[in-house]
Amino acid sequence: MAIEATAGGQSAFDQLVQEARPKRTVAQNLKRFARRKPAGAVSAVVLILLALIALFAPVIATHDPIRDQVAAERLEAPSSSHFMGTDNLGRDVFSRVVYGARISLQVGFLAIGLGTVIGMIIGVLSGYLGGKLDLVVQRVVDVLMGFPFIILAMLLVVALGASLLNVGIALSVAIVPRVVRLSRSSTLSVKEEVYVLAAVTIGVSLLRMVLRHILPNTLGPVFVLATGALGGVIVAEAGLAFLGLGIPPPSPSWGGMLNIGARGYMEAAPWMVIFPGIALSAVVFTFALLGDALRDVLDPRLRRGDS
Amino acid sequence: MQKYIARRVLLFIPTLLLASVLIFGILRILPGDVALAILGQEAVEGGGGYTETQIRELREELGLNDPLPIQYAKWAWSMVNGEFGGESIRSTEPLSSIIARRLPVTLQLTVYTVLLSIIVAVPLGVFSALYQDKWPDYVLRMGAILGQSMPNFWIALLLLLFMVTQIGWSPPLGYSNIWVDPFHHLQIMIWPALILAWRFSAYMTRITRSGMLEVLAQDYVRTAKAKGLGQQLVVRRHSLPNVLIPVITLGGLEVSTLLGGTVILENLFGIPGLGQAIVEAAVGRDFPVVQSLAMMLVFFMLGLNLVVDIAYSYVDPRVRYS
Repeated sequence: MAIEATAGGQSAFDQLVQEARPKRTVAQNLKRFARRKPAGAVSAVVLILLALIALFAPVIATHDPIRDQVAAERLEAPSSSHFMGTDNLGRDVFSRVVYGARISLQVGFLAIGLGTVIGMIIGVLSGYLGGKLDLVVQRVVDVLMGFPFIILAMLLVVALGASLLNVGIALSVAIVPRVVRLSRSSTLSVKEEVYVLAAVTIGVSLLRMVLRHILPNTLGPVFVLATGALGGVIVAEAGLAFLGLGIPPPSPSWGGMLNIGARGYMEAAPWMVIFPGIALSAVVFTFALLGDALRDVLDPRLRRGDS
Repeated sequence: MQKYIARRVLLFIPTLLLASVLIFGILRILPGDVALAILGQEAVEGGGGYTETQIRELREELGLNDPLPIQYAKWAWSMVNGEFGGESIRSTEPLSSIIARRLPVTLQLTVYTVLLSIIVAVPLGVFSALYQDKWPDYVLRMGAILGQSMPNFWIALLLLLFMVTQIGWSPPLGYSNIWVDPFHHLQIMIWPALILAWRFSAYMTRITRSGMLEVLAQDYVRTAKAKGLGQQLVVRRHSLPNVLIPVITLGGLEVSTLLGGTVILENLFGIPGLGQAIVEAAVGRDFPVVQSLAMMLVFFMLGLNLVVDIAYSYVDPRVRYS
């Protein structure tokens, strides 16, 4: 069969492909995902709930997380007025945990967003252009991968000063080398595809080549990496705050609530460390589950048999 | 073989140089300079101000008046000749003594963790492989996921809480050297080691399991079974030795990831290792200490990877030629 381009720019070949592949709406795709990966679907729902909690924190929280300090209500056990008890300054733990979701998600998405974009730009260019640039990038990435994650983040926070924005930036730098390595390697394999050669032959510009032909084909694995890494970034933020190097104290960061300071009150008020920890672990666990499910669905190398 | 080792070792030197430039560079992004940051912090803590002369003196003392390349060269040379970047601004203890005192502690903690992990992970991995996709396998995998989701400092807090409230005992305060008071030493070190080992053994269990599954499918294992050997003998004589070497080398590569957890748990349990020192220095803006200790930690991480890579190339010749 001769393949001719039609007026609409669609070839007969495209039509064939269209017919062979059943068209699915977004809703149908979501349903398929839920059926194939129940754990992934549940974790997605949990994360949407979490995002809603973070968004509507002022409505959900029963007290102000920072200002409502009632000396008479210090270290109170959970009750109907304080669902998760109060801390050593008389602040409502439930409200602080609710607001903490905001901080965790803000830092997490900031770090992952920034790190992924920068990492992909560097990775794709380095993989596609090759040569000296690639060599230099490779060496720097190798060295950065040799840095313990927390040490690198710690150095950056010390250099930049501790604030929500800076902690996000510091953690994004720690993500960059991983993204660079992954997007570089998928670029290298995409580069060998026939359609890239075809695009080269018709004289496509570098920008168009990267944006239209290479980047979209490296997105899947990077997306999986980013989802999986979100949990890690949130724990790292908590770890920094725990050590006293993260977002400074009055802010209700989950890690900060578990800070060494809380240790002294732990026996008298165990709820001070139990609830923020549960929130933190649950979030990390769900991100890990979602990452796993997405990997099975999006990473073509792991796809077995089914489409 | 020699060629491979030579290449790896030669590559190690520029890697270290690049790492040192990065550490030096990151700590110079700081707006203003180190002297201002230190005096500012002291002024906040002490409640007073600081004068121009103080700034000038401190800059002179820290060598900040030199151009950056000279500062870098001086620092890099001091890392080689054993001065490790001078002394702490806070305690004026020389860095060489800080490192000599604290490095063994961190190494001990790492060794305990690895030993505990191997003791736990190898039998569990074998067990998991023999019961592939039956309930013991599922239970172990769930335990591994759980261990990976709970932040280690939270596990540590819960453990301390449990010990205090339920059995009325908590690890003693203050650290003892193993050669001075081994019992006291272990009472402190065992907890962070256990917590670190939970996550680490989860990884080791997984690689033991997959290695074991691979070996169990081999022809010589079938032959061993066919000639009538019992399960025990097949596992111990014919399967396990073939699994252990790659497990131990792969585990070695992963040891460097323990460092992050070590930094956090040393602080929580009051263990005077390098991790505690670098966090104290970071909180107190003690820049020479942060810079040199970060370099030491990166050096150990990269060095360990180098040693394991070389060891692995002995075990698996394919690595040498790729």
